Amino acid sequence: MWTKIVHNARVLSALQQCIVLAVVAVAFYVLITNASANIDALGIASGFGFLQERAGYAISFQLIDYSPNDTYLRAYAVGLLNTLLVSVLSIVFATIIGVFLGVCRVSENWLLGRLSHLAVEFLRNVPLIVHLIWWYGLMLALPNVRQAISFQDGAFLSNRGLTVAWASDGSLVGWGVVSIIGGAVLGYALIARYRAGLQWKGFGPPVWPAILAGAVVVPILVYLFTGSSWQWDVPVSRGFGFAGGVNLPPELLALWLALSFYSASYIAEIVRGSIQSVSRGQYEAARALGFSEMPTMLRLIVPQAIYPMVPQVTSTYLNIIKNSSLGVVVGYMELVSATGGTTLNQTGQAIECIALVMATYCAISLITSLLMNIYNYRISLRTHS
Amino acid sequence: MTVSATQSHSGVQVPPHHPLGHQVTRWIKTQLFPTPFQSCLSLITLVLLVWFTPLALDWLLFSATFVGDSKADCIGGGACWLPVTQRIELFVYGFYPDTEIWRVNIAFGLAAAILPLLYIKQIDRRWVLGYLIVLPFLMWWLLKGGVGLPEVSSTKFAGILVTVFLGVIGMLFALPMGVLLALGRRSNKPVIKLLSVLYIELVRSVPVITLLFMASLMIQLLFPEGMTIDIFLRVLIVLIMFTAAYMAETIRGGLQGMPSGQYEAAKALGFSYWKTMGLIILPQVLRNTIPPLLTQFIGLFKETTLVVVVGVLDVVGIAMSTTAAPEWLGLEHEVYLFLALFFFTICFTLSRYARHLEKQMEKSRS
Repeated sequence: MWTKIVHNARVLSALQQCIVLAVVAVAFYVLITNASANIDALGIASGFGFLQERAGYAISFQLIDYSPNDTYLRAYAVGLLNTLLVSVLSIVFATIIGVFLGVCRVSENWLLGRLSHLAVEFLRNVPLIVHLIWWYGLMLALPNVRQAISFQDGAFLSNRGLTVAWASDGSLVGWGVVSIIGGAVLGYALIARYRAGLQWKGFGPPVWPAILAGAVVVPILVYLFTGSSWQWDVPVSRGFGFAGGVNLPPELLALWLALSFYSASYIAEIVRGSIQSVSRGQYEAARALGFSEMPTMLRLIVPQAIYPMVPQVTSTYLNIIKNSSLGVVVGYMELVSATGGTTLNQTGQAIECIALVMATYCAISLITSLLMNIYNYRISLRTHS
Repeated sequence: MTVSATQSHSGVQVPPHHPLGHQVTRWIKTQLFPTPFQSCLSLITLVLLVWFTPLALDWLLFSATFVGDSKADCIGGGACWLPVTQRIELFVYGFYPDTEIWRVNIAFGLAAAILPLLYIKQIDRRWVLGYLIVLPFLMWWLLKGGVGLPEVSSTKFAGILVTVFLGVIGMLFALPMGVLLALGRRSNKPVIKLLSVLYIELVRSVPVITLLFMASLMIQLLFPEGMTIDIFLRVLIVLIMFTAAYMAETIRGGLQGMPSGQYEAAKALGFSYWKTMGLIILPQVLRNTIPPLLTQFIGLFKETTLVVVVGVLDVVGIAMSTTAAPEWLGLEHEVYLFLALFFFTICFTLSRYARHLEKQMEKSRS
């Protein structure tokens, strides 16, 4: 009777799972009791109450107002925004360089192909931290403020970073974003209207050039009409620093460039792989139909290559966000160096701080994969129906 | 030979044989100057190459200083490689005692021996597997000492020694853990599956640096008072845990690629789950996933450089301390270039090797 029950596969399986669960639970219990005993012994507070306390440390670069008198929570928000800023900048730059290198890599020009192959291999086989400390060294080796490299007197590059002219009331970003989004929506609305009026559904011109055109043209028009009334805040050299303008510190520039070039090599490989994955027959068919080189690429190969590219590129973008944590090496105050570094050292609440940082990264990944899945679902509907 | 002879006799046209010079000009014409646009591109790149290569070579080699004692000896106008050549022992062996350096050399040799072992087909796979299992313990024993060898404190570990040690040992311990996680993720037992998925996804969605911070700042809180673990070991554990999660996904890909006939055949023969996996599925999966696993090793090798953030002096740490040393101030380009070339050489060779193995496999399959 007893052996019969034990040898039942389902009972056995349930038993195994219970044992595994019990082991994990006991391990967690032991760790948590240890932790609480240690925390009591060291006299460290617990819980997330510390977030409301005064932070007391300065952050050299911030997107929202922040002073040492603000709370740890605000310092966390500053760090998060800095992470997102450098990630977005790097994603844009890495995509541009990566697509360029990838296209060069598949080009029919032997010399160009070899050279970009060499560049890609060099960029991707050197660890990111080496890229970073190298760029940082270069940034610090730039001339000082007095001899800063000037671009039309509107931007200055020195060992204090890049200082650029900016609209004085800070509304430039707000209006810029609004006009870009508004332009994109306008472009989409126009093209959707045009496509809806067509007799053959689904055979109209593609949607994305219209969105892109809207996002580019509308801001330019807005600038042309209102630009004269803007107050430009031009940086002026004042001894050891600049007065006015907005300053991108060398830490940000180094991290931005390092992340961009390192990740560009991955994007280049993705672009190359996707273009080469389009079957040879497609090229031959295009040639047989009398398509020349450029239309073959743009109308036939790229649209087919872009779908397998999307998930891989997304994971590269996620890696950029995760790798931006290397800011801690050069002292760029992003999420990990602000909350996981200074806040942790000041409060001693290691578990809470690290949990907070990890949870934030998890949330970013989850949101991205969710968007990715929605996109994939829509694509699969379009290609398989 | 005979086929082409008969064909040419029966009147089928044989491609005419071109002299070499003609072939070269034709190649240049088709590869470099097929269209006006391409010709422009080629010309621009050629001009840049011709202008840049001599300058670079001159700086790197011809005007560079390789021998000397201090920065004052660098008068050639080219690169000053003295911080590297003068400190090469520090770069390779760290602070390892001079009399024991032979142990490090043997450990390097043992690690490098993996590649030929993977390459030579005649060796029984079981021997290779056995070697891979013994290797991390052997390396640990050689470097750390203990039974029969004088003990070396891990505070003396630095430089390339740390990088290679963390990379190889991390990889070899992560492999079994990755296999278990991959099997767990494909298990039909909900609890095991859920735990594996949670672990893999959690580790994969956070940056390595936060895990390293956890190792350096948080783990002490989780263990009973008085029990301290060497920072080196803690960092190693984190790298293993981290790599295992990524590896699990690679191996899962391999498991999904196995035809279901293999499972059915095993079931028909009455094999148990572990016998099916251990004797039939995993040997095939592991063999097929050697190229992606090597790529993963390259990734891990590059990730080990992050340990410098928590104060372990790997080769990057030594380089950073060199550029900060007053006697070598201002020579960061040479030091970082050396660092970049070091990683490039190893990672590029390994990636070529992985590519080669992959091609061989494709060939043997078709």
